[in-house]
Amino acid sequence: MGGPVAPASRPPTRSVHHLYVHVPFCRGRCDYCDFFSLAVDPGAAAGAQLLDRYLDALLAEFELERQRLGLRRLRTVFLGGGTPSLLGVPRLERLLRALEPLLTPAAEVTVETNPEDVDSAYAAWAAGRGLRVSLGVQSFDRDLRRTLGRSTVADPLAAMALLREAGCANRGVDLIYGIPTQDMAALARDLAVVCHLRPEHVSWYELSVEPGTPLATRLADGDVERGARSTERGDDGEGAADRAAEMQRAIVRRLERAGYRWYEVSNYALAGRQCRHNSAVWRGEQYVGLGPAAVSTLGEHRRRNLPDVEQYLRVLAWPVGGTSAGAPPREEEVLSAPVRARERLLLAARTGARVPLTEVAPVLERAAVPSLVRAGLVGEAGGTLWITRKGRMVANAVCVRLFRDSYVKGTTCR
Amino acid sequence: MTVSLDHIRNFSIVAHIDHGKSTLADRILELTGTVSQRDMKEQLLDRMDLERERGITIKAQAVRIMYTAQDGQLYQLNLIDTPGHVDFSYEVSRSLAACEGAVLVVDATQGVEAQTVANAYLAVENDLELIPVLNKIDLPAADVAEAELEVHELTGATSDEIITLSAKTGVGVVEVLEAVVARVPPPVGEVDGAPRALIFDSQYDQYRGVVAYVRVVDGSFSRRQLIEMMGTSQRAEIEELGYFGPDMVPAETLYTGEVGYIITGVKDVAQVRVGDTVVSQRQRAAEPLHGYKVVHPMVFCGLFPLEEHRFSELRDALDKLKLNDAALSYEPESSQALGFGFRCGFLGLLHMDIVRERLEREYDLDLLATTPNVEYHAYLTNGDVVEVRNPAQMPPAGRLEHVEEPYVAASIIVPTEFVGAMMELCQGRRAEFVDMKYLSPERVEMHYRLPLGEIVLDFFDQLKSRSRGYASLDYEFHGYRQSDLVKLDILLAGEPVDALSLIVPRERAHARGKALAEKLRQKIPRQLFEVAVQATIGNQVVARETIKAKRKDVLAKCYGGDITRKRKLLEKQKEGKRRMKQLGVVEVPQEAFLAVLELEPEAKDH
Repeated sequence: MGGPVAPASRPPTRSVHHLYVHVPFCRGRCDYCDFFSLAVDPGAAAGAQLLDRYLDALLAEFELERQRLGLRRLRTVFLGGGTPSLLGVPRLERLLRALEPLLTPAAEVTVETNPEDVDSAYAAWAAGRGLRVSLGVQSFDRDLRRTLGRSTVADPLAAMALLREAGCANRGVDLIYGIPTQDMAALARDLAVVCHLRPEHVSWYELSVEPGTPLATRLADGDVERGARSTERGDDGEGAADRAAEMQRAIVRRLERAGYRWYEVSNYALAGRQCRHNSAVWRGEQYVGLGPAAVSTLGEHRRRNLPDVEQYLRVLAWPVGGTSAGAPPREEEVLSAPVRARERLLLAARTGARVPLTEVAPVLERAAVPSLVRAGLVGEAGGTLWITRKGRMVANAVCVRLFRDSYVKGTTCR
Repeated sequence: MTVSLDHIRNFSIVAHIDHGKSTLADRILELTGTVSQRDMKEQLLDRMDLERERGITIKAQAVRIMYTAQDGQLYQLNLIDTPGHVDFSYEVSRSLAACEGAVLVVDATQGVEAQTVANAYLAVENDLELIPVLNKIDLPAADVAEAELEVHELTGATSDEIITLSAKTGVGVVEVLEAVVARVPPPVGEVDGAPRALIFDSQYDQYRGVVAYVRVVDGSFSRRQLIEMMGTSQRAEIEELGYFGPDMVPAETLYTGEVGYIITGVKDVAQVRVGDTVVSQRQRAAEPLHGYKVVHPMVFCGLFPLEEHRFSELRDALDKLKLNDAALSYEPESSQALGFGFRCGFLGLLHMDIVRERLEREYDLDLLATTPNVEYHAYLTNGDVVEVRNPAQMPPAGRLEHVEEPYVAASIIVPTEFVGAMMELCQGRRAEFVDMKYLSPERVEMHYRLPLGEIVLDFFDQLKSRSRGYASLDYEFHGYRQSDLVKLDILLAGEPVDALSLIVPRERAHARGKALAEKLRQKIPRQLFEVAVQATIGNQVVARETIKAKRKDVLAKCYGGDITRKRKLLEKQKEGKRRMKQLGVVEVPQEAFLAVLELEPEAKDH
């Protein structure tokens, strides 16, 4: 059976309760990352000054959006990056103070945190604030972290211990599988560590080698082995997908046995500990994003601040609370009704949420449903449709099959 | 300008493909000033984009050249350029009937090839004066002595009758023109007799109707003259006539012996048949000229629009192509798997390829083509005979008395070192050896009778690869013969796919079924479900393969900023599916329908 029935998409006029803040800075770029981020040394004077100016600009944009959107109550805040923890406690504190008046009593505030930024002071601050800390571990195996081009200095186990000792009650770890040279045994070691630490939340992503990243270059040059190659007769180019499937199945099986719920393709949580911010985004709720490259989805509009830090700082360089600050340059996309319906379907495919048939009927290839139901990939009952756990592993292909061919119906996708 | 009959020369250039026919035509046009330097471009007479891209001639072209010979006299030369590929040899034979001479171009680096021989025989059959020339003598690999010997063996021409030239550099081109003037006889015809002209080609012009390419044999034709096509009894008035220079140049009159065009405003191509005789209504000639054999398609395949609702567009496109391609045939066909389409008949594989490419390019259609096959004659137990152009329509074994398939007489010319490899190839294709003769100590001409059905698969590719490109092939229809054939059917996920059915020799049916099922497994990408691929003969499953289900196909991350990107990716994938055919629950890519063409030769031969 599918998950709980997802509420209908909010009409554009409803207020916005979810805030995303992008912090596009890192100490160094990891080899696999293609997110928008700049390398910054917060210890150096120039770095510190840049971060201060950035915080000013963020607060200016927040003020602007607060007034424009009439933000009144924030249920979730997510500080993502980049490396938000790199801002350091004083700047983070300054940011949270500005948001504080709008936070509901049970608001979920997440800070993506790098293990190297966690010391006892940071842990104590996070615990005191009741923050949800999402720790970027990638792997507990140092060699695998090196393969990813991550810092091998910081010890994620020590960071987890510090957070636990400080009383941080909502910890998540971010992990990656399918790292070059990682085999099932190496994966089992990471799984054992996770189950031992028992964080409230686990995000475990398959490594995607994005074109243009240093990792992609190294793989192409043959400096890193991609993992055991299948040479069996049946290899039809899907060998990599088969190995990824095997790893993900192992993760799901082990984490579920340990009491985690697999609530999204790459996310697992103990009871009641799902990330509320991301869940809201996946339900299609409105959210506003601050910072360069941040995305907002507001009713029929999706907009993205351009990924240009300099320009962002320049445009928003006005005193906090001032009214003359201009909005940062953005690109905007209008989400037509069929587009929103398709997105609803694709997001529901990732979470297993039930979707009322009436909402997706115009974009749904009805004839495709029965065979998918027979194959156990899709469920249908009580006027709702959902993608099963089996279907979740092949959510792309299921969605492509479920989408009605827009050309034939005259509602072009582009 | 009127030229007396004895100053007219009508000739063709014939050659094996790639021997430099079109280049020689280019040089002649340039040298005689027919085309100004400014307008000159390569392969000038090849008007179609496809011809230029592929470097081949598909459609014959005519051009009038005014040439002042070394005797000081002005001659009118009508040059007809012809295709070199075996598929289009009917175009060659039509063109030759409008000429008195032919320049036979032989590549001095290659020597005599299969179509050189075929073209030489065609010319002799048409009583043409043959002028053999050796081309590409500027290339280091040219072996003039050896090529001369082969040409002598073939045509009987002596060394001083064989002209050596380089169409590329222009050396020897004047000698060719002088030979045309000196050796090709002028046309013979009754200048004052009842007018008769032979239609040797036609072309359809959207605005002006049918343009008939004619050779005036007797008398003359003028503008506003009332004419009749003898074969179809179609009457018309000449709206315009003229010659090719190489574009159409209007004239007042076409005289005896001349080559040119006639436009009457007739829109129906069927009324202006190639090979028909044009006569005057007022002074009606009694006898038609000797026409041509009607061309019969040899190879068939189903063409289906990928988007089913574009069936009528495909029909319109075929109707239009047919206007300029008399050899193309088509009839509506419906397939359980592919919906509505056409079973089309072609002269050969190249012809099929070209028609398909033109349909896709010039008419913007996405097509799905089924595996090519030949026409079988099924003799039923009740005495009826059925022509089977679609394997799926072969009557069930119980109703069959016997089946006949078309055979061809093939000639293969190959260096002696590859004789063994050629014999091996032919034996694997049920070929029957006829004889073998040495063209020279180094080269051999081999004759076989073999089923055309074996040639339409990958015979030509195999021939080339097993002879390192040296073998050349020519063939002609040689009647029907009884064979022990069975129908091989393919089932996908338990459902028969009629478009994948094949007719195969019984003794190879199992091996081919296995190979085809295996190939289909490779060609059909994984689906959301496991799919069984089965090959059956009658009710017996002879092979089974399984296409595994997709195990993982989902992006790892999908947060706020990723949603647009991800949605677009899926929408794009959905669009990509239009190149796939949905058969029941299975999505089949187009290439799968041609999988049989890619079967490993070993799999076919055992």
